[in-house]
Amino acid sequence: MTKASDSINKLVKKSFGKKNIKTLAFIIISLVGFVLIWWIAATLYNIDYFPTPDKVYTAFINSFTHNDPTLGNTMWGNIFASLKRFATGFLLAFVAAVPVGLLMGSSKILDGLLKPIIELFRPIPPIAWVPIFLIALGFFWGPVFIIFIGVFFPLMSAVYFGVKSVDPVLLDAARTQGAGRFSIFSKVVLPSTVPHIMTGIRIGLGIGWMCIVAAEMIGAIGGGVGYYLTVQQLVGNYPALYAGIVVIALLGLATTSLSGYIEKWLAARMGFR
Amino acid sequence: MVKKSTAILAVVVVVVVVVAVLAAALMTGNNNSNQKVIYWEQVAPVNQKAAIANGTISAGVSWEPFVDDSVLAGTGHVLIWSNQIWDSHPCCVLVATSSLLQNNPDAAARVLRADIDATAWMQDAIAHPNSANYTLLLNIGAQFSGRSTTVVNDSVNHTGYARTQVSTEDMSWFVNFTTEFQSLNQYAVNITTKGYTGPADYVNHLVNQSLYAQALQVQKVDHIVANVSIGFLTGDLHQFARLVASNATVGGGVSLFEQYGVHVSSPNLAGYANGPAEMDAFAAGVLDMGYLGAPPVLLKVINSGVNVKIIGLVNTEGSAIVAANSITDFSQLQGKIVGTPGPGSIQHLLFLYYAQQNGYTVKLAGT
Repeated sequence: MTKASDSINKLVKKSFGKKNIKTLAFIIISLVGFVLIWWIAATLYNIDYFPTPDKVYTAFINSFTHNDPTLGNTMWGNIFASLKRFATGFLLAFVAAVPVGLLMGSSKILDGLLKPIIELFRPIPPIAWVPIFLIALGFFWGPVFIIFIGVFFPLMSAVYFGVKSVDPVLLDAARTQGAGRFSIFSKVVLPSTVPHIMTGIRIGLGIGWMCIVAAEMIGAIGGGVGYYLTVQQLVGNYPALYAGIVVIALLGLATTSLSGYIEKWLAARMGFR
Repeated sequence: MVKKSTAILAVVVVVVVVVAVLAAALMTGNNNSNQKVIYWEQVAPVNQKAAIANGTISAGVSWEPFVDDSVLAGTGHVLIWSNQIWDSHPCCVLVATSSLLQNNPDAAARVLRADIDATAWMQDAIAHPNSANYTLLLNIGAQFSGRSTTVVNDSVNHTGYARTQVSTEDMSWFVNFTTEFQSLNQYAVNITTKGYTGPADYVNHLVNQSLYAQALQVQKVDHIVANVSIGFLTGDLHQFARLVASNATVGGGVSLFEQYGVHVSSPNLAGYANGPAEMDAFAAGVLDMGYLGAPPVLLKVINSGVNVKIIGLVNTEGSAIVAANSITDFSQLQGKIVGTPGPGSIQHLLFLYYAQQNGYTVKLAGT
């Protein structure tokens, strides 16, 4: 995903430079070849649940221009519903994971107390919580908390390791110059964990996106791209089902590109790279 | 230092704006008070009692025993039974793949025969509520559905197990369901492009009425002559005949399926969440036969190209809209959320039909 988005970023930046004509050619050959193989395979198999690319294309366009007969909304509505849940879950996880990671990394007592609980919960796949969260927390907060869990652990770990990997020389230098605990934390530890936070955000975005699609598949309020897939499967509208998968691919690509871009921008701005 | 504080301020402003937009979006969720609207949300029947209890939904449409489960628990009450909306409507059917009917019709006839005998046994047990057989029936249902015998007792009395042969009335119902799906635009392709002249022609092709006569000729055997993979729905007591035919005690040591020489298995031991999901299992090629609602069959034979035929009726009626106790009339569901097993199921279709008959627009919750 990141490689693909990186290559697209490069392509946009240096648009049509001589060196990149080759890259562009590869992308075109690769994608056209993929669609051709798909088309031939789908024509040969001729099964309802393996539609040809033209049917999926029509369904893709229709999903944006027409209300879905089963869901009663357009793809925009579903994308908005998913993004709303995603943003809420991600923000909550960010607000919780960064302080917890910073505190655990800085205090041995908190580290010792919180680590057993975190190590107990970390290996549980976020999706494992789907059935119970939907009942216990309802159709909005259920999926939101699944994203929360998906984002919280990688982000918290990244922050924690960021604090742990602060150059001891910097800490000593700060201490010799008479910096207090708070100054060291705010002026040395916090700034040097920013790149780790960004890495955590990038990983969290990827996992969070997978979580939202899976969580919505069981049931979600206001639709959502994951629920769109479930409904198309239930009624057997397979071209629309594939169109939903295409939407998820595009949104996933957009999310990772965006976080990659922000990470680079921040790193350049703060002078880490 | 000025730079740093500006950056922090910017971050704070962005967070506040995002939170405000989210809050606004959340609050404007279900806000169509001047319109006759009821919302739906997919909730598995087994979870509807809990969802009604915690206020996630105000009512739910489900199959037995989950209707009476909610009622007896005091969580809700029946707002309307399915037979009050569609009198004597067929519900679950027994289907077999066309390949089984072509390659081994004897196996399908044997399963159908065991089902016919099991239904007859059930009718007799239900007619004699003080008999040992009735107690056995309740225990079989309780064990399968995870509900008490009291719940199963009520469920059995709210579901019709009168016949196994598909009648002309059932055929008309199937045509009605097909027409309803057409008017709801649920067919991804027009049924005429699939080679049928119309709903009646489609239903005639879909129902195999000849296997019933063949099943009545089937004799019991002392060894297994066929292995058949059969699908069913999670905890669904409409499909009670399958449980009875699988039960060794009912058959006096050997189950009815085995008495007729059939070894029955299921790739999904917990059952499928709804009829459409079971149709997908047919598409995946893991089922030879299955118990499920007629509407998902009617929908997905067209949309998914699943090649199955309806060979028998399993039950009539036995679904209901269960509402929270505070809701005493359907009109009070205005602006509220109703849980259904999901699009494509008979319960979903029933709810859409009834709400529209009463002048309501039905929308997905949160839209």
